[in-house]
Amino acid sequence: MEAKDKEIYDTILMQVSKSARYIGNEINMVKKDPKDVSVRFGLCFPDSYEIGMSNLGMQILYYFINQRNDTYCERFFAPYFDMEEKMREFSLPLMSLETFSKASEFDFVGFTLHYEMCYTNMLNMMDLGNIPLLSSERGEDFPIICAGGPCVYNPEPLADFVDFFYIGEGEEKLGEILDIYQANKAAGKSKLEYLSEIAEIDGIYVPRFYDIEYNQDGTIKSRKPNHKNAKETIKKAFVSDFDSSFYPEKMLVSHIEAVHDRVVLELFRGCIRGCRFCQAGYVYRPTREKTGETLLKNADELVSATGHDEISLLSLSTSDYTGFNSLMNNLIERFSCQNVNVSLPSLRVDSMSLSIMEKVQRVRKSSLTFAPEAGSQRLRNVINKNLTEHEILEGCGLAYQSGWDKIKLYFMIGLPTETDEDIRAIAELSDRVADKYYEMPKEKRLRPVSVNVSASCFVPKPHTAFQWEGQNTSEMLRKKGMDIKRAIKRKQVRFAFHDEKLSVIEGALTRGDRRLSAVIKRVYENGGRFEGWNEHFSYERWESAFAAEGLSISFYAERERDFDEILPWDHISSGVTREFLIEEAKKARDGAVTPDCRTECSVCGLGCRNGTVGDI
Amino acid sequence: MIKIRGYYEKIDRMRFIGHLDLLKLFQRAIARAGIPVAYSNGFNPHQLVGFALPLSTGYAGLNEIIEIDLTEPVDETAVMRDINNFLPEGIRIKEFITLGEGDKKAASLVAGAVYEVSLPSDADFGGLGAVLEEMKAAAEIITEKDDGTEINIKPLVSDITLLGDRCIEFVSAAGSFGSVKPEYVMKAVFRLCGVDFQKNKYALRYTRKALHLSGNGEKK
Repeated sequence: MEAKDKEIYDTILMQVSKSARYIGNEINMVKKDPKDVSVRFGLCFPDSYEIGMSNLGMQILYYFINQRNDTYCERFFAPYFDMEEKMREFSLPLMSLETFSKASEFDFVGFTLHYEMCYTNMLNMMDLGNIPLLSSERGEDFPIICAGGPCVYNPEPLADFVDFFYIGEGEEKLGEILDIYQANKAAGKSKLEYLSEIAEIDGIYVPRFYDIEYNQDGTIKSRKPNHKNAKETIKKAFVSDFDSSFYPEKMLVSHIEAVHDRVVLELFRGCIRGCRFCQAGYVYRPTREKTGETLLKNADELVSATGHDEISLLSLSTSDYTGFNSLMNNLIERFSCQNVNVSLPSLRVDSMSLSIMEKVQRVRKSSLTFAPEAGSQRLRNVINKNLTEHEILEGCGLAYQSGWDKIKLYFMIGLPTETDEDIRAIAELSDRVADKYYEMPKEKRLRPVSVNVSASCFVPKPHTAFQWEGQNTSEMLRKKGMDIKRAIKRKQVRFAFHDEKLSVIEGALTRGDRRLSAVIKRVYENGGRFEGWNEHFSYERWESAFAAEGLSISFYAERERDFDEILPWDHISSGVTREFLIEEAKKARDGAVTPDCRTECSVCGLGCRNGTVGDI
Repeated sequence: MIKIRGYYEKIDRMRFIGHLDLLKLFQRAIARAGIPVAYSNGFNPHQLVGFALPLSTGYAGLNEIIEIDLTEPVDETAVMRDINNFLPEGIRIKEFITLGEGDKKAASLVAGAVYEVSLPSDADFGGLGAVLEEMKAAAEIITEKDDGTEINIKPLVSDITLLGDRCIEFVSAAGSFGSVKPEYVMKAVFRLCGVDFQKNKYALRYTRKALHLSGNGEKK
């Protein structure tokens, strides 16, 4: 940065909120001289600094790419409103936190997309970086725009902006992508030549190499590759040997309080449970665990490299880890003397896990969380949430006996086949959880119990058994929320429900086709930023953008699809077969459950049981 | 309990780290350095580390004070080196001293602070020297607080000095003996120079050069 810009930047920092978001120089930041590398990779997170710094994928990719001596990976986050305003006022472009280089100077500008409602932030970051939004308007002088992360399992809504999508786990193919770039750059080849070459690699999707035709009714008529290297099906990239795959020895430590200020251990990828609504549960298959030895090594390295005083275990259903108890005991034994806590998210509560939690949480009993997701057993069977009311109440009973008096319950509303009865069941189950407390003798009840119930709105996601389902309208969701509120009798139960309109837009985007690029661009141009933050979300802005493009929100969100409809993401393969998803969808309608992967293989397509993992 | 007092600098971009985030930053560095730091009792033990006086976000500091409670005596030089190893560029401990039995916390001894403020180059501060002389001689210096009320800061400011043509130094009272925000002093300067404060306030660069401690806490 030139001296004059530096002065301006500092003057801006004197007046924006949380200025430490914009200064870089964190503990464990990678320092290289850009002159010493031949490839510069701008890793972008289209949300605020504190959210991005808590993202494990971002941390892994940062160090994974920076292992290479020929490449420097630098970070960009979405500037908050006050910062954007000042950057535009003083014509300062988006700059990296490592070297304050302009985004437009990078070879790659790569976005990690964790949430559909961040799409407008992605466009804002490109624009602040003086990079044209549409890939058709970017010549050779501009960076290659790429994107990955959970959202790109349906990449279509961003097809107009992105040069290539990376579907799957970065550790697997990103090295190869950079190697090829390196060679092409040295040989003076064009961007198009590069994209043609990588289009053949698993996990790489170049949207411009496909033409989409639509039917009169708005559904897709055909999707045809228009380039010889464009694959019919893009298979996700994933690591087959997770235990030996890359995991950073360091982690960036956020300057300001982040969502998660702690060492994160990834116990396993994938999930054995098969909940039918859960996109992560399908797309991260197969379940791959790390050994306890590897995890302890990760923990040692990361605690000593960061100075964090908490270790958090991350995975989709943590207690399903095979060696869970011994891992917990080992961690507690090793770190309690160092004043480092071990924290547990998402546990299935039984006597075993309670005794572990007692150890973990020492004397302080924070609240305990259950996620029944649905109120009635019938509906829990529909979504394949393998948790019975008996287990929930027994779990709560044990927790109460051990001194817990705060319970959180998570539900979803708007699930397929849901009836008024299922909605009432949420209220009834919540009341019963509170009742259970009063079954204890009076002398054991030190304080009144507090049961916090929250209901989120179900959004049908691509690559799940519910990808064909219609989403409830915001009016229906609102009514269901109000019905639950009215039906709860116990005063110790508090109920929270919100964001039904936001969920509908999320629903439209997550199952959208590439015509939505124009809608997203319009919302961005009309001021849409941080649309996933309730206080910044504007339904009206989305409504008018859909209308202006001649598209309807309900077509994407509310409409139920036939099994034979061509879906916008059909050419992206998570490894789970379409036949399996259809079978699951049919079983859901019959309320039939599917056993977890460990009990019995249901032949979803990943082939873990017959040793063909990696060949999907 | 053994207590060590450190003098550190917080400069360059690191001046934008806020007070609580700075505390976390030091605590993590202390944990990594393996210093025999004492922890509080209770459900959530935390390191017993404290500062003498919070420094506003955006201000640089050259001799800020941090105090650490220890469970055993240490070699000050070694501890300084070890902690500095784990601090980011821009934050550096310059000296540690071990406090004596019965020495009070710096936080309870702070009496004043020396500030240096550099003025923006694109505003006209003609006659700045004369203005400062005027302030020194005046019986009272009236300035406006953030809430619009007027106060006389004369008893709380001393040693107003011109350090260069656009750089001012002064000592302002701090701590329990009465205090004044350095911005209020600058507001008075701007008012007397006839320059708009609101328009220029973000272009001012504040550096706290030293903290004055009363009684036995005075740095030698």
